[in-house]
Amino acid sequence: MDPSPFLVSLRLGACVTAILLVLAFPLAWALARTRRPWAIAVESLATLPLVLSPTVLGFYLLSAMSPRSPFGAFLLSAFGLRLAFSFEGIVLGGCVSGLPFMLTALKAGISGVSRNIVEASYSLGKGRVETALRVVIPNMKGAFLAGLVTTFAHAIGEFGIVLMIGGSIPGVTRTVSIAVYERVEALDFAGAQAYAIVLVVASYVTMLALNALQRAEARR
Amino acid sequence: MIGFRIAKRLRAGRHSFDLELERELADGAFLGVLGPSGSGKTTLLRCLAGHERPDSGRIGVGQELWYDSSSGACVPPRLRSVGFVPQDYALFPNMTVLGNILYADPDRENARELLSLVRLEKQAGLFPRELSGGQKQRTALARALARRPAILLLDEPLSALDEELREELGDELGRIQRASGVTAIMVSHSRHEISRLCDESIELRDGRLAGFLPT
Amino acid sequence: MISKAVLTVLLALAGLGGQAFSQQKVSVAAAANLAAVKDDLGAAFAKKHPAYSAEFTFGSSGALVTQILNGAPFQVFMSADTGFAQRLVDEGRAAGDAKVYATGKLIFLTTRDLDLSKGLSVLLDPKLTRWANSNPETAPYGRAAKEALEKAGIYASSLPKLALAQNVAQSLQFIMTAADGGFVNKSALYSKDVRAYDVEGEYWFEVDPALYAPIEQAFVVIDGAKSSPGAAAFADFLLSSEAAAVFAAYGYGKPK
Repeated sequence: MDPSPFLVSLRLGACVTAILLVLAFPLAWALARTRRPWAIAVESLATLPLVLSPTVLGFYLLSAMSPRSPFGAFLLSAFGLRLAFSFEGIVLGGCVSGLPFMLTALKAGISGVSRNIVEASYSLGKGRVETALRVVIPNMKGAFLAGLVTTFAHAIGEFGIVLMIGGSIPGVTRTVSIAVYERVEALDFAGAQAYAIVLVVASYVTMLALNALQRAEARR
Repeated sequence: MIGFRIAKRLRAGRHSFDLELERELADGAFLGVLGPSGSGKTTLLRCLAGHERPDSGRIGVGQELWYDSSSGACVPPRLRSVGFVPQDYALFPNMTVLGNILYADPDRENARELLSLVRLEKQAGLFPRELSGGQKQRTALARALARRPAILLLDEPLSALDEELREELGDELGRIQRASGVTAIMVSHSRHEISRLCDESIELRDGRLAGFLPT
Repeated sequence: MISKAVLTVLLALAGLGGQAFSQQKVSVAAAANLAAVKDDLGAAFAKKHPAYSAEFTFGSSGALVTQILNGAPFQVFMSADTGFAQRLVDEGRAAGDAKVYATGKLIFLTTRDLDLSKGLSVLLDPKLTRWANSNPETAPYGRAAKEALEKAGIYASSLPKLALAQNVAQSLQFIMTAADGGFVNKSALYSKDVRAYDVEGEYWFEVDPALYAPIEQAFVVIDGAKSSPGAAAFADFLLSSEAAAVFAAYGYGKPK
């Protein structure tokens, strides 16, 4: 059994989670603390991937990444970047589909931090960044954990998008979910089992560990 | 010297009224604002702190102009020299008593002095969830005073405490304010508390000055 | 007023449904490469056997066999080769033998500006950064392309640039979007979006049949449908001259 799909899936999960942790936080902050009318439009757009079929998303992403589309052509001419059939491409796809998970968890966490202590921090002369780092984030550890877990789990299991834009390149875009699918299609059920079992066990152990951490955090 | 003139339209359910108050305070004075809940007292404090914006008016503290509707000036909360103690004390749950004070001013010497001022030396390493109501209030006070603010704002500082504690801490509060010499404004719905602690007091009803109280 | 209009619409729809239900459906699992012929093949079948209408479901041959082995209720399986069809016979799930209904032709197709005069060596052209092919393990056209490239001695060196599709339909999708070219069935040229690129020599060329084992596309009737007159009629139709005419019009060859 070729173990490279496990590494690809892990890398994908790690990259998507790391990127979304950084990108989604400011957006979650803005959405949690604003009362402006545009907030609901932005939030609906950001969480759209939750209800949109991954195959539809993948379809649009593939078209957008094609050098024949304006976006793809721009990427090629400005950065020499070809996103389709590349690891960066599936990371992008994973981020688009994973954004709702991270965003929802972070926004709930930020909203959960009492406005009073945020204002107290401002009154003590601190700016937004310092307040975020020293007051808000330490008091929403549970939400961070939740966002991390759900986003990572979702990214690892991502299939529809990776199928559409990945090109199943061994060691680059052939994730475990794609590998299982291909084994099944080739009628190699034993091979499919091998991948599937490892994935199930690893996923379960991850969830166990993270749920234990969450409980410990909640008890404090 | 602190002078303010604040006008703001407030909504309480379907009922709306205008908060309108104008006052001058000498340095070191302790002003009490009496009023029932919903009379605009908290909004008054929040406007002074900069967490809310009046519809019109002017707030001048010493040489600084914190708010002036005619020129559009409005200094954000973090640039106002304010010590704010809200009703729920707003202590940072992830920091100890000492940590909360050091957050305001990292000078350990200053922190030690404040801890002894509020008599919390022994509790310095405890977290807010381990403190009693009175201890939380004193921590919030120490934190608010750490930066030697131009003005101390107290929102119902004693309401969350039980009867016995109220008397005792009320005295503490008065002692601390006199010792630090900070100009302070306290809002409360207790006539008794205000007359005990404050040099001057006014009564607020439906957003407006309804009278002065004897001290 | 509104309820009357709704009722009328509902009755009309029921009437339409009635028309469709009076024809017996024959459910056909078909390899992805047959998507282009679906309409004309269906029409020719309905003309020859008006009591029946064919209903097609497409996928890669490998995926369809898996589904059928697991009980998917198809009545006829049109594979892209003989191997997968034979698999059903070997597993005892076919009513009768696998019979060849057409031979497939493999082409290389691109939407970019590439020099196709050197044939398969175009894969070594630095302007081509990604080429698409369907999975050789599950799609017969993919297998044929791999075989041809190995015979031409360039499979190994062009492998790093491969974007692997799961079936010819996805291979075509890659070619039409982000891949610089790739291998598909010749009948792909007849689908609406590809017609603009049906310029031999400029956008496509046929891969020399000598380089790969013939893609003999075979069909079987699934054992569950062995006494179904509709399935029998479709099986009979697939080997008829009317069907052969449709296949020829779409770039397929005659069964040998």
